[in-house]
Amino acid sequence: MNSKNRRLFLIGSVVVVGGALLTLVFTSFTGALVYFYTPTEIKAKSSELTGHKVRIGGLVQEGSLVRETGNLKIRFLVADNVERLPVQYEGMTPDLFREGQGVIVEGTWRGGAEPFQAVTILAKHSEDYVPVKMSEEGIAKARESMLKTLQ
Amino acid sequence: MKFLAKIQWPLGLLTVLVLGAGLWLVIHAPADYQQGDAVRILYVHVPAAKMSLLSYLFLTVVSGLFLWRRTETLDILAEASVAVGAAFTFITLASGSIWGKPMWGAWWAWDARLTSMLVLLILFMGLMALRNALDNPVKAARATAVLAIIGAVDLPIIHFSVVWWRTLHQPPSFAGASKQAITGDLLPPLLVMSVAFVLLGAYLLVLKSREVSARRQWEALETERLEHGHE
Repeated sequence: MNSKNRRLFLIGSVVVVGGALLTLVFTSFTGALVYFYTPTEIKAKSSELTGHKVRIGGLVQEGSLVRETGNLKIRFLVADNVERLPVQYEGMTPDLFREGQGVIVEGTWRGGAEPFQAVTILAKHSEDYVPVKMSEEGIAKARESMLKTLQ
Repeated sequence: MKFLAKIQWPLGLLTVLVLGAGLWLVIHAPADYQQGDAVRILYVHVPAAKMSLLSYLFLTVVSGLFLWRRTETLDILAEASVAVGAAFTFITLASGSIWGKPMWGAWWAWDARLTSMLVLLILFMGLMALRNALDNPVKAARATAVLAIIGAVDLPIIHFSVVWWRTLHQPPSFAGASKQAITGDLLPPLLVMSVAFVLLGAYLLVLKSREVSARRQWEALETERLEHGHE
């Protein structure tokens, strides 16, 4: 192979490898890269997901959070714009876990007949950053952004 | 390299001044209404993340130019930007982790943004490893340049990951003029810290480039001495 052919070969392989990487990313990874399901999606896919480990994301429904006294058990509803899903959890919750805030719960999907037993709770933060004194208007805006990311 | 030696001190001084001003603003900025004081971590995290991507972008450009022109200066800049980029990527991942534990409740999550950023760190380390693995410096320079250009695929993936896929990581707070989700006194420290980190990146690049250049000259002299025997 002379040097011109070699360079052509090099550029060719770069294009092929790069193209393959891109194709991989845009096709097979797309589904797997969704970090969590919404309550609406989980209900639609309920039967195929039964027995699988899933993450479900949404807002903690205002007024739904119940803390049991004497232990770390909590119950609340995870809601998107359409559906809401009862969740149970026992343990410490992250700082940002509050009513009206974004949350991602992890656990095994059992078909939804009884409350979803969460093993892990992650708080989801929106892209809004608001100083303490401006919080009134900020809270409304942050909630709007959070709902948008859940669609 | 003479030009770099000239700008090193003024650039370093400017970096220290802007970084000092930025840190003063970070300390005096108000707390976030939800995150409290933890929001201050983001004044390091966000600029570091921007610099990670910018370093790789710079690396891609100089690697492309090197393959075309074959000038050694371009290769020196490429080697230096790999080290600088790796440092910024590490700072991004570490500071994000420290913020994530109290806020999300997890040090790490395998979502699209975090994973693609980890891939960037692996790419930087892979580029260092590849350069050191090849004995022939000319071949090493070409191979790393080619790998660097292939790896650039990761840049749009990192940037758009939070838009394309549903992630734990929050979407960008700035999206053109229409959207700006950081309000009030939380904004100035972020802007000043971003400028400070750009300067810091440039300064580190100058330092590292001069080091790489000096090391290569030294190695060339060594080789020459060995070839000519002991006279």
